[in-house]
Amino acid sequence: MALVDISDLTIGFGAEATAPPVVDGVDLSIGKGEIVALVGESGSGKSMTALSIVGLLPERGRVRAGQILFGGKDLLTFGEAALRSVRGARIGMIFQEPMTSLNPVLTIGEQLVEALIVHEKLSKAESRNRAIAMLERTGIDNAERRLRQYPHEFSGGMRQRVMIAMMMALKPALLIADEPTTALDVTIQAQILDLLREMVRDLDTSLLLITHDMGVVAEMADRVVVMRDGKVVERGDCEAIFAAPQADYTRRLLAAVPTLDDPTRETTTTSFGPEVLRLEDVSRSFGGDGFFSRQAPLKAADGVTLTVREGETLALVGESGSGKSTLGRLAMRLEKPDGGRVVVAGEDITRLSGRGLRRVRRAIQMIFQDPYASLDPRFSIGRTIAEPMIIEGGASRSEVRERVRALLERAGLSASMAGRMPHELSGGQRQRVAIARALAVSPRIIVADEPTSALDVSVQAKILDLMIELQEAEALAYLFITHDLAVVRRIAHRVAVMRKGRIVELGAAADVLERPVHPYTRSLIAAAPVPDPARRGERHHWQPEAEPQSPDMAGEWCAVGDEHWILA
Amino acid sequence: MTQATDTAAVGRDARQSRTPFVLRLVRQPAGAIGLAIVVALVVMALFAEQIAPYSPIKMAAGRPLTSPSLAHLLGTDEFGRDMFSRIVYGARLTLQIGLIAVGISLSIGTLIGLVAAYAGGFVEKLLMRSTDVVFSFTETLIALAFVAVLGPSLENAMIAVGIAGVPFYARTCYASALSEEGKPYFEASIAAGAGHARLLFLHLLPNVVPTMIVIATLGLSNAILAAAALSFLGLGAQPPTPEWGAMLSAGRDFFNRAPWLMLYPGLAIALTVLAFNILGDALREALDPRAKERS
Repeated sequence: MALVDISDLTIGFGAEATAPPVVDGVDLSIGKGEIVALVGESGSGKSMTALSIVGLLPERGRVRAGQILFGGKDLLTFGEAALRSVRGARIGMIFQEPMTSLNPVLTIGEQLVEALIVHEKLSKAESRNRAIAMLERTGIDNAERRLRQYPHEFSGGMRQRVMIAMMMALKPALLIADEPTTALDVTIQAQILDLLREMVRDLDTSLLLITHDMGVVAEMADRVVVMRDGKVVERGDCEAIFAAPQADYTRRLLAAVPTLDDPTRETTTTSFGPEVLRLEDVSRSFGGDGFFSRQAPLKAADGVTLTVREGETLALVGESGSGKSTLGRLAMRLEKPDGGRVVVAGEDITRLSGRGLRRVRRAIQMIFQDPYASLDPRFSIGRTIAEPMIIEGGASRSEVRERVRALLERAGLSASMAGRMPHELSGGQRQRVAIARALAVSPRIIVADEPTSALDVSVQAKILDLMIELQEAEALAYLFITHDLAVVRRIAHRVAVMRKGRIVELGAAADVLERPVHPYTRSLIAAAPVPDPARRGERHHWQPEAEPQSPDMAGEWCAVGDEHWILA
Repeated sequence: MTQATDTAAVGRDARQSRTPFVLRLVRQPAGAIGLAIVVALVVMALFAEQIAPYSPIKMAAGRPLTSPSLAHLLGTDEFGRDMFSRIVYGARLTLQIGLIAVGISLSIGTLIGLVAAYAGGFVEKLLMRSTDVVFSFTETLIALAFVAVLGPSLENAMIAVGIAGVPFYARTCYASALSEEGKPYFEASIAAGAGHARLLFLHLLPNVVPTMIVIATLGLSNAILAAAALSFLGLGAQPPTPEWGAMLSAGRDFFNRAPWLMLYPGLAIALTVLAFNILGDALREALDPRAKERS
């Protein structure tokens, strides 16, 4: 018999008459020791389904029908006290942002030990030993010292390990993991996924994995359930779903997933125009100058030299903290470099300020990651797009209106959107508006900082297509900042891999992605999950020990191929 | 408020699907109650001549210290002045004091906060550190010091209360502006070549205004209370001005024989303060652009 058997689950907000259900007649079963992936885009109801299992629906959320059998008993009939005894002890949960699930004012040790005392009725000394053992098992060094530290002293990946340690210590029958690796870098993600798989294997725990990332699904799942608009559209074995998806939606979802096997874009170095952006030995460090702080300054950019030519996409790849976003801001002169030169469209903007800077900077525009914060909430869409033209001046009101219409249509939106406010738009639509605004001043180059990482895959694919189409039509150059190698493959002509403020490898996309030379690039590519269950386990793990230990990575540029360089 | 007209026309032809602001406000019970009391106060203040049966300063309108009756709804004071009329006229003074004092705090405070957040560097340090110094004293103490220098009068009390409130508004505005400045839309506007005036008044100001309106509404009650306190101490409104704080103070001597002399001015102050407080809370809800779709 299945451990969890959900049948005809229907969840809605508010009165039945007015609000359609967010989860609509979902059936789902999870066997013992089985990994079931619940897949869908935002708003598909996958998280609601999971939260209802542990009775943690948000306020106003109500289960309207159905039953959730857990070990033969219907959890929906449980009272709050009964549910509490199930939560944690029998059903564990791991969330996307581990910082919010750990109490910031208690040490890791206190939280781990507390959980053991409450649920396992162990003595304090026993719990402590068990906690240390669990931390060690999840690969945390110095576990004894670590127990005395607070959550903020741990990195994101470490905190997720702690959460898993907590779960392992309690040996729940079911673990619900809601996007457990979405906020993590790929190399860390690979380690966390391994850890979860180990836990399932060793403790015979069942895992309900909620994710939007088909790569993670292919790596992990035994069975897959695909949800859309609150309904299950397809279910089946992982291999079967990837090999022969039945539902239209699943097929589209899989087609939208960029993979590392897609062909890279054509790159013939001669086909690009003149240089539109040049960074020469640019440096920028943060901190270290404070009156009270004695910390060494953090080098976010350390002697970086790059060029981007007309019509070309240079992808800047790296993990969080590598300095890639700072480099984008330096190119925009939103950040002033400590040293080096920034040249945009042939003009040195390093020393410019005021009017001069404003004029030259129009040649370089930016698209940001967060589609919610990148539009002024008090400006209508039309006003947002018109703003650069109004600043430029010289256009009559009707000309501006006409151009706004044209730009909206260019970005794949209807002209009637002009009167809408940002909060009325979806994330993908907002990102299109941001693109239209960037195009309004006819820039030569656009700096795109993770423009698709907050979007669903199907939306991401459309935004990338739009960007490529615009590039081909208008010979735009992109400096495309991302952590996602599969996206790089789709859009980049050349790739620069960044680590700790320095470029460690630079070359044509095909060269860098298919014949990486630098060990760091290799580890990044090896860690990226492949959305193909048949190739599970081919992934090679990067061992942090293998990393060269020299802290400033002083090195020389060496050519390892045609226009392909590494820092060695 | 600096509302831009330049690009507003662009989107005007498209559909407007927003719930009117007032509707969003009164849909909340707190908003409706707060607004009702405030509207009643404003009506009292505007039509004091028509509402009040007697002149607020006319002595011997009735016998001194009569208890509330049909002729004198809230009784009379020691000089035989009609308390109801004095309270009604007091509403006018109270609103005046509140609005002027808050107006002073709000305009100076917003300006300091915006400029400090936008300019950064030395200007920011200078403005915010001096604000901190003033902030470290109690508002009432600063107001007292100002009145002591300027001399006791209603006008000086307003100015004193207004200036004493500046640091609070400056800091709120500063914090709010800083968080707006860090958002991508602000940087996108910089990238589009926007100048100082546009960034300050079209992007920063409109986005801090909702916060400032809310704290100004909450601050109104604070200012009214502070001014009443000054008057109570004899440093604000002078006799025979029908100011609630001063009336409260004058009523102390007759508390045993005529408790209504303290009860009604006190109630009036409390009710006004409460009304502005709950109205402020309701405003915050209603002004949140993301809350518009909620029912």
